[in-house]
Parts: sequence; C-alpha cells; structure tokens
Amino acid sequence: MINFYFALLMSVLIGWLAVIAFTPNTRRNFLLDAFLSVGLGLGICAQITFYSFLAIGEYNPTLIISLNILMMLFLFFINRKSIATAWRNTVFTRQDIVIGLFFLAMFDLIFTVANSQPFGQWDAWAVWNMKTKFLVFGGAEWKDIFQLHWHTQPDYPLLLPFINTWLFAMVQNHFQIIPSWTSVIFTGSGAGLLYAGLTRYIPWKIALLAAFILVTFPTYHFFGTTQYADITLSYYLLAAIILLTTTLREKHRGFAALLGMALGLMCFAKNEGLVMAIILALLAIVYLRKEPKIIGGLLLGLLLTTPPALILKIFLAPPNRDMGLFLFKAGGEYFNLNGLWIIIQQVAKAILGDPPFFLIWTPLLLMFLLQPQRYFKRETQTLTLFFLFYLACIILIYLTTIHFNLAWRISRTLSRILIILLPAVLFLNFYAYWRKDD
Amino acid sequence: MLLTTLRIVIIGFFLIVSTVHAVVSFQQYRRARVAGFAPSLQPGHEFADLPPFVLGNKKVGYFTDLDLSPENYDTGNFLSAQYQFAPALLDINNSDHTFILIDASSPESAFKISQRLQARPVYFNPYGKLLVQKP
Repeated sequence: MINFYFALLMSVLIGWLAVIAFTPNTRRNFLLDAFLSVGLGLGICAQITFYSFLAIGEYNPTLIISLNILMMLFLFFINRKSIATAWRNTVFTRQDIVIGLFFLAMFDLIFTVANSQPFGQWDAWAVWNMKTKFLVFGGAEWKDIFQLHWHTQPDYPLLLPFINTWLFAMVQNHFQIIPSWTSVIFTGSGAGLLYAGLTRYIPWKIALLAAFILVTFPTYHFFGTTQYADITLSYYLLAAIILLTTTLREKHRGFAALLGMALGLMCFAKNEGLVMAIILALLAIVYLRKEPKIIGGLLLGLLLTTPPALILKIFLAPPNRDMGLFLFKAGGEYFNLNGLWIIIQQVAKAILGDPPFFLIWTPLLLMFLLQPQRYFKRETQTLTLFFLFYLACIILIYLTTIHFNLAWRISRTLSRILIILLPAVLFLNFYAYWRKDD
Repeated sequence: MLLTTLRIVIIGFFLIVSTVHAVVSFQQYRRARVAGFAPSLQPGHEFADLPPFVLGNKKVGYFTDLDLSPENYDTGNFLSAQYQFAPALLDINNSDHTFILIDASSPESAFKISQRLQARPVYFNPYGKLLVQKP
C-alpha cells in the first residue's frame, strides 16, 4: 500500500498548492492547511480523473497519473515565488505537533473500526463502490452507470467513485480496500478540520473539545466508515462553513476562491451537496453584495470546480426520478399536514429515541434556543440562515416523496443527514458561544 | 454571568459525554485489535461465480419472484447481484438478452421461470441462482 500513501501525499500536495495559490500572504495555521489540503487535493484529483474519462472515453491510469502530475507541476510553477512566503506565514506551534499526533492516533482508531465493515454498508456496494467498478472495469462502456436501475440512483454525482478511481489508478490493486481507506481519511480529516477551523477564532482548548466530541462519537465512526458519499459531503460542508466564516470576517478574496472550490466539490459529491452549495453561494453573495472583488473570488473558485457537476447533470445523468415524478404527477401523497406530522414524529424518534443522538444533538439544539441572539450576530447569521434554509429544503424533499413510504424513508435517511450536518453544526455552536472577538 | 454559567455547563456536559464515548470507542478498538481482521463475505457472494459466464455481454436480464419494492430487504438481492455483475447491467424483467439471471425464492420457482422464458439453463450455483441462455 505504499502507492496509496504516495497517492495521498500527491493529493495533499496539490491541495496545499491550491490553498497557497490563493492565500500566500495570509496568516494560516499549519493544521488548517493540512486538513484542508486533504479534501481539496483529493477533490481536484478526482475531477482531473473525470476529465480524463471525458477526454478519451475510458479508464486510463497512465493518463490519469500524468494529468495529476502535470497539475502538481503547474501549481508549483504558479506558486514558485510565493511558496517560501506562504510557508513563513504558516503558524506552527508545539501544540500543533501534540494535537497532530492525537489526530493521527484517532486515524488508527477509525481505521480499526472501518475493518469491522470492510465492504461498508448497503449503499456502499449498491451505489458507490458498484459505480467505481463501472469506472475502472467498464472500459468504453463506463457511461452505462447512467443507465442503471433507479434503485442504484443513476442521477447521483460521482465525486466519491472518481476519488476511488484516482487512488486505484495509483495503487493498481486492492480494489476492495481503497474505498474503506478513503472513508477513514475523510472521517478523521473532518474532525481535524473542525479543530483547525475553530482554533482560528476560539480558544484552542474549546476547539479541541469540539473536535473531541466528534472524533470520539462511535456513531460518527460507524457512519463515517460505511463508505458512503455522506462523509465526503460532511467534510466539504464543514470546509465550506469554515471558509465562509473566514471570508466574511476577513474579507479576503483568496478565501472566497477556496470557498467557491469547496462549494463546487460539494455539488459533485451528492445531490444534497448541490442544494447546500446553492444556498451557501446565494447567502455569501447577498452578505458580500458590497464587496464585488470578493464575490469575484467566489465565482472564480466556483468556475474551477463546478463544471464536472454541471457536465454530469446536464449531459450525462438522467433527471432525478423523485423530482420528476412529483412535478408531473398531481398531488403527492405526503404533500400535506399528514406528511408534516410524520416528519415531526420521525425526527423526534430519531433524536429523542436514540441515546447517542440524544446526548449530542439535544444540547446542541438547546444551545441555540437558550442564546439565539448569538446565532444572528454579524456573519454568524449567514451560517444560521444556511441551516434554517437547508432544514426547509429537507422538509420539502420529504414532503414530495413519491415512491417510498415516508416514515420508512425518513428512518433510513435521517440519521445520515444528522451525521452529515454534525461537524458543521458543532462549528457553528462553538463559534457562536466562544468567538474571541465577542 | 448567564453566558459564563452556560459555557461551564456546556463544557462539563460534553466532557462527560465525550469521555464516555471515548471509553466505548477505545473498548471497541481493543476488541477489534485483539480479534484481528474479521473475514467477511463480500456483498453478492452468492452471485460471485456467475459473471464469468457472461463475459463480453453488456446487459444481462434479471428475473425474480422476490419483492423488489424499495422498503423490502429483498431489493438487496438485486443490488448485490448488480454489484457482482458490474460493469454488466442487470435489466429487470427484460428477456431480450442472451443471458438471463433468475434469482428466485426456491429452485422450483427458478426453473418454472426458466421454462416460462423458454431459456436453456447454463449454470445453477450452490446458492440457488440460475443462469439461463436464450436460443
């Protein structure tokens, strides 16, 4: 598996070069750079892999590796004069070493948990890993992915399968293990990113507590290592929330560009990511409406990483079956008060009836209810509005359920939604209560 | 004062909960370390010996007498079969393909479906999955 580590290192390097390309003269924390580079780098490599498929019509590991090496060299070239400056501006303390070692230890724990489900859960082999098989072994017929039976969600974006395809191109072996290791990377990096993002604005001990809550949560380990795209979406949502906060506070065009890149990667991760990215982008533009240069940075970032999602959705993937059926079929069964009541019941059951979720989510909700004014203070209101708008979207999506039993659908999906949102909600809550400039 | 009190309560509560979670997680970790890597059957293992018979075929028909509604766990049969057959597509209830996979609740049902399709059995594996071929 030495090739896997090399692929990961290359991805992190590409991610780091992308970060410093936009923020060379800005004070940055070493751990924030490290954990942000993991996701950005893997996302960029996955999108390059997607472009290689479009270019020659099939999986070609030589082309994939060559293009990624070219990207790395290109980023080195454009950063050649600023690498030294960027490194000097990176804050690196002794506690970063200790905390970095702590997160490395957590990776080992998460990896061991992942071994208890080596093939992931249902959607791993029914959707994501199965699609990776089409990409890697399908030859010129890889686009048959979009003709699969609707049970396998053929309209879904393909960031996770392309990340696994990129890693497989480097490793050329261990097809079954790569998705497991990918899930471990994103699960651990999400917790590290939470700490690194919070510590920029709140006392580091409190930031560590927030990350400790997440990284010790057994349910987070379980869902993170199911090999679903949920954990990648959770990571990119957290990255976007952190970058949005940084952009709004520091009014920095470079961070806005990185935010745009994170939003583009969210669009390519899952359909829910597309919804989240649209809400976040619109909120950012409204809040920054008097800063055209910063909006320009945001749009630049979006331009860099959104095309794969657009190409896939417009030219390749079939339309979403749920939306299509609802729009063209008069009167959805659950689009009424009964549907709303089922949603309320199932949410109460999920949070109040499940001890792990009850112990984490109830205090987080209470934090909001006890001091709501803190969540609408300055840039924090943008983050809060995102969660409120997204909550409305989830309710609408559930109310428009067509060919599932609604209670069943909620019972199968709600816990996953709660895990996707958890890191970002932890960030919002701890930021709202402990921000240093308060 | 209220904020300070709230902060202390929040920290205390989450410290307790996280410590309990950390202990649980560490116990799981120790058990897993001691037990070593637990071998697992790969998804769709009951179909694993069938794909070599259909190499080169882009699509394979799929017939079953199981309930394939989304809420039913029998859907997992189709999905795990699709995982094993990928990158070949399984085409539910379409007999216009050279090879057809019959995934039935019993051997009797499987062979009845085969007769109805007027297809020749190619391979019947130990898990009761029947691969047939149209003339």
